[in-house]
Amino acid sequence: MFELDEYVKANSIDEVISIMKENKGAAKIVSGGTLIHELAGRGMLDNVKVLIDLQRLGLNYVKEEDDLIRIGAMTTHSKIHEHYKDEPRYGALAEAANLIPQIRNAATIGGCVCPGIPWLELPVALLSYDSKLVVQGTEGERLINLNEFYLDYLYTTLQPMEFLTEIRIPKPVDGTISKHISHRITTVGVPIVSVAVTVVKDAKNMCTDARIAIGSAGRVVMRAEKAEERLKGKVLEPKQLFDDVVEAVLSKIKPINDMLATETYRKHICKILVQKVLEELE
Amino acid sequence: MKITLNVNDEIHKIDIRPQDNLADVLREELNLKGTKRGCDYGGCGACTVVVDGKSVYGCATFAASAEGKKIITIEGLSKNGELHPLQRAFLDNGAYQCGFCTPGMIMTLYGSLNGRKDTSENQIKDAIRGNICRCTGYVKIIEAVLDYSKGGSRR
Repeated sequence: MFELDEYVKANSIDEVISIMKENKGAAKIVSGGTLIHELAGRGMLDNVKVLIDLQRLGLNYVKEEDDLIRIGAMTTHSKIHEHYKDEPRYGALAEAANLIPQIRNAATIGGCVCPGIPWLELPVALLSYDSKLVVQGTEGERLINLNEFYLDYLYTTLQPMEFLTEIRIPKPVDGTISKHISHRITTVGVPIVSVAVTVVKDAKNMCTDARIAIGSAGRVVMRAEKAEERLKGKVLEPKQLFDDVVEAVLSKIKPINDMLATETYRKHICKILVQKVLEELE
Repeated sequence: MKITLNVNDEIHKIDIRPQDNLADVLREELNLKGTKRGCDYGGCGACTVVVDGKSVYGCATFAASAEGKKIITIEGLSKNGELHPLQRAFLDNGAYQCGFCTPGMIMTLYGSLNGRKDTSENQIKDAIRGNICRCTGYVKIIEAVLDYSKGGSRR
């Protein structure tokens, strides 16, 4: 049974860390709360006794600096979507944040990044931007590359006494286009596969830099580096087939069989989505 | 734990368990049974309430986290015995069958429309994509909101 002893609204970073120390593994961070209720319902949080709410820490912000975007861990999907919905350079970020209204109004970027669940959408988009995480812990602050963050299903490099406060995204250079697309059977369900692609094009439409990230296609969200290499140097034109890029993506992913979709179906959907995203990049 | 909730402009001091969700507290502690419980994990929309002007799933919100925020439930929409125009539009257009999803639908739309009247059909569909109606009465619901947008009723 999910039964708490305490629900604490912490007032400072130090207070969060001291509560985590006091309770050892029994204290967890809550942000929007949307995922926690689902995990609790499945009996996955029975050993959690204390929840630490971060709403008083002022982590709900999107700040733009010269070469950096800083997004607070408690920023809701709605706020991110509203901020970036009309900017093609941030297309993947805006689209991944555009969940169903009741979830996007509550769920936060930090709550989406930290659990290490491969079917959540924002980590896929964030991977396509080469994002970094700012983490606070007993030893102070440290910076983690998102690309090195996910180790296995529900398993990240975040240590037991650490928590996320900020996500940093390098400001996309001129010529950047970014897209995110996912396929769902029902709007309230989890995606079958999601794909985020961020590319940089020169004046002749040639791809000079590329990052491709895939979600719901293995135990972690992942980058398809080989596919990225194959995309670089190619001219991006509408309706062009990128068979070798798609093939490299498919060789990387390892989707599961479950009640939503078979491995074969997920691979098929992945192929269609990657092709579709690449076609739309011109 | 003791918390203070602002629900429909009334202040309630209540005693809850730390893990209680907002939908349960509204129904069981405050006896506001208009907020329905459907799936209990944030997938059907029947428990939607508006917190600080935004629609959220009541079953996926910790009651303790809603302290200090302004909560509106379906009971808070009508004023002085008069239905809210959105409720009136649902009634006039027959936008319900069994009625179980209706409070959630109306609260989602109330939160999304935020008083706007220039809503397109696509915006309405986007707004209610987190709400499930198992009588499949979506067409009538969309018609009702379009009717509300025009500021009229079809009687």
